[in-house]
Amino acid sequence: MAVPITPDDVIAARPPIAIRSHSVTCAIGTTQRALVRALRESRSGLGASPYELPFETVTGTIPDPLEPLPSALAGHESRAARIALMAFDGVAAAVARAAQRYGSDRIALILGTSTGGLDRSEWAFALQRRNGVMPSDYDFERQHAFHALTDLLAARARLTGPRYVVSTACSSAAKTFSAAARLLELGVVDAVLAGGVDALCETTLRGFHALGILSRRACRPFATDRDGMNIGEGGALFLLERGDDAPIVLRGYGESSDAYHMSSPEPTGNGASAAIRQALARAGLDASEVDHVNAHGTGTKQNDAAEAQALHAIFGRSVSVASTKGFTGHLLGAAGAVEAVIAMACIEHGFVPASLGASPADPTIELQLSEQMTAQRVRVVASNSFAFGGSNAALIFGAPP
Amino acid sequence: MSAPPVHVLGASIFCTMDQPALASPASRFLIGGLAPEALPRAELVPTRMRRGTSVLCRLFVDVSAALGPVVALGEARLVFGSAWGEVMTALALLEMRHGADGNLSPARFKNSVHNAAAGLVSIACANREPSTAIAAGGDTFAMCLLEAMGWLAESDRPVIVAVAEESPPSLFAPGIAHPPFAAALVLARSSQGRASLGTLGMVRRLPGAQRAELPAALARCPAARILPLLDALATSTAGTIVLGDGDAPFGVDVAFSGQS
Repeated sequence: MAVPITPDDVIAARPPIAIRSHSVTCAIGTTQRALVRALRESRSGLGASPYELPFETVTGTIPDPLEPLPSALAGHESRAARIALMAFDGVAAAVARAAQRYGSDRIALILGTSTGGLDRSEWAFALQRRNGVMPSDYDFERQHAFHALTDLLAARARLTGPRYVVSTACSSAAKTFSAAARLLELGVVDAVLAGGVDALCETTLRGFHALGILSRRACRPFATDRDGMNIGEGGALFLLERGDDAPIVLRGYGESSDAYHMSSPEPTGNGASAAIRQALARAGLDASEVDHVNAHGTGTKQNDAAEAQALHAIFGRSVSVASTKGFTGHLLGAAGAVEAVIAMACIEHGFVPASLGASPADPTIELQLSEQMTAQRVRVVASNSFAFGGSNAALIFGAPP
Repeated sequence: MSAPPVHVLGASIFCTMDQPALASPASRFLIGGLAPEALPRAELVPTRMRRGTSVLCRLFVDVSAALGPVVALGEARLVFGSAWGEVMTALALLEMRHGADGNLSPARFKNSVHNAAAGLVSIACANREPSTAIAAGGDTFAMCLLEAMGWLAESDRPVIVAVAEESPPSLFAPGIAHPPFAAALVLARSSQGRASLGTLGMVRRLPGAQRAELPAALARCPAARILPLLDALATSTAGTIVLGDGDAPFGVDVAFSGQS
C-alpha cells in the first residue's frame, strides 16, 4: 500500500520493528503490572503537587521514593537521572543479552526528554541565591546538559554505540521510535534502547501556568468544561530491533510540522493528521484496521479541538479514543514513551482504558470517546504526541502483521 | 545495508569572535559575526515571533536562512543540534522565578524548548516537513549527521543540518566559555543539478583516530566540531574527518567528484 502524503511524497509500507523489552514508571505505577491495574480500575495517579506554588494545580508524581544513584554514578544526580535508572532496571537484562549478542557498539541509545536535569539547576540556583555560591556538587555537564542522561544510561548499560537526546518538547519520546527505526534500517546498529524520561520541575509548572494552560484540578481532556493540563513525570524505555518476531511491534510512525504557532496547534489539525496518515502508510494499514487511539489529549481547549478534528478526518467515529493524561498527567518529553507502554498494555491485556474526565464530552468533538474501561480485543493502537514548535509525531503499535 | 553517499549542497557559518577571526579555510562560508557585538538578527522570522527568542535561536535561524539560495527553506527537513541548548533561557526563567513576583514570561517559556529554533524556522518558512532537535555533548554534530542520513534514506527531501551553541553562564559552568557559534549544511541524496561541495559517507567510529584541532576560542564549543568538515569542503580535500573525541571518535569520509 502506498499513500500520497503530499503531492511529492509517497510513503510505502515498511517492515515492523520488534519491541524486545520495555519498562515504565509514572504516577500510576513503577511496574507494568501496577500500571495495567490502575488503567483497568480507572484509578488516576494525579494528586497534590510536591512544590509550593502561588497557584493551585495537581501533578502526576511518581508515588514511590526514587532510589539514589549508585555511588559511581552519583555525579549525575538529578530527579530525571533517578527516574532514568529506575526505568532502565526493567530492560537491563534484555539490553545485556543484546550487547552479548551484537556487541555493545552495535546498540544505539536515543532518549527523549524535554527538561532533562533542569530540576538540578533549579535546586542549585535557589541555594546560590540564599548562600551566594553554587553548591559544590552541582555539575552542569553531568547534571543539567541533555547528554548527562545518555552518558548515565550508557555507563549503566555499558553501551558504546551512537547515543543522543531528542528534545522536541512533548513529542520527544515518540520521535525516538522513528529515529530508532531509521538507524536500524540504515544498518548502522542492530538494536536501539529508545524511550523518554522527564521529571517534575518548577519551571514547567510555573511556565505552563504563565501560558494560562495549567488546570487547577485534575485535567478533563475532551470534556466540555476542560480548562487545561496537569504535569506529570516518569519514563519508559524500549529495546528495539529489526524483525517482527515479538508479541508487539512498532508498525509505523509519522512526523510532521504544523508551521503555524510556537505554542498553539494548527486549528484544523492538518499537521497532526499528516503525521497519523504517514504512520498508517508505513504500517500498510487502513484507518479502519486501527482498534484504538491513545490521543495526545492534554485537556487544553485548543489542543483537544485540533486533535479531534485530525482524528475525525481519519477515523470518523468508528474508533475508540482515550487520553490517558487524566491518569498520569502530561509527561512532556516522556509522554510518547509512557503512552507507548499504555498502547502495548491495551494490546497485550485486551482492553481500552477510560478517557478519564472526558464526560460530559464537548459536543463539538466528533469522536467515539472511551467513557469507561472496556475489555475488548485490541490488535492495533495509534498513539499521538504533539509539541511546542508544531512538532507532531504519531506511532502505530500492534501484533505482528 | 550501505547507504549511498550524501551530497553537500551548501554551508554557512555564523561566529562572533574577539580575535583572531576564524582562521580556517571554512571562513569562506561565513555569513556574519566576526565581531563580538555582531549578534544574529533572525530577520527571516517576523518581528513579533522574535520576542522571547534567545541568541541561540537566532543563530540557528541565520545559518539556516543563509542557505536559502541553495535549498527551498519551505521543503527541507531540519535537524538542529546543540549540546548546551537553551541554557541562557533556562537561566533567565530561573532569575524571573526568584524575582520580585516570581512570574515567568510566557514568551520566554514557550521559546525555552530545545526545538524552539526548528519551530521558528518551520513557521517562518511554512515548512510542514518533519524537524528534530538533538543533543549529544561533544558528538552533537556527528549525531545530527547520523540522524540526517536516516532521513535521507527514507525520503528524497533535502535536510538542513545546523548546529549552534551559546556558552552556558559562568554561574553554571565556569570552565566553559566560548563565543556564540553556529554552522549549517544542506544535505541531499543527489546534487539536484547544483554544484555539490562534496559527498559524505556514513558516520562511523574511527578507532585510534586523533581528535581534530579546533580554533582555541572554540575548543569548548561542541558545535565547532563541524569546522574540520567545513575546512575539507572549502578546500576540496578528500579524506576522513574526525568529528568527536575519545578512543574511537565518530568520523565521516568526505569525497569530491573525480576523486576516490
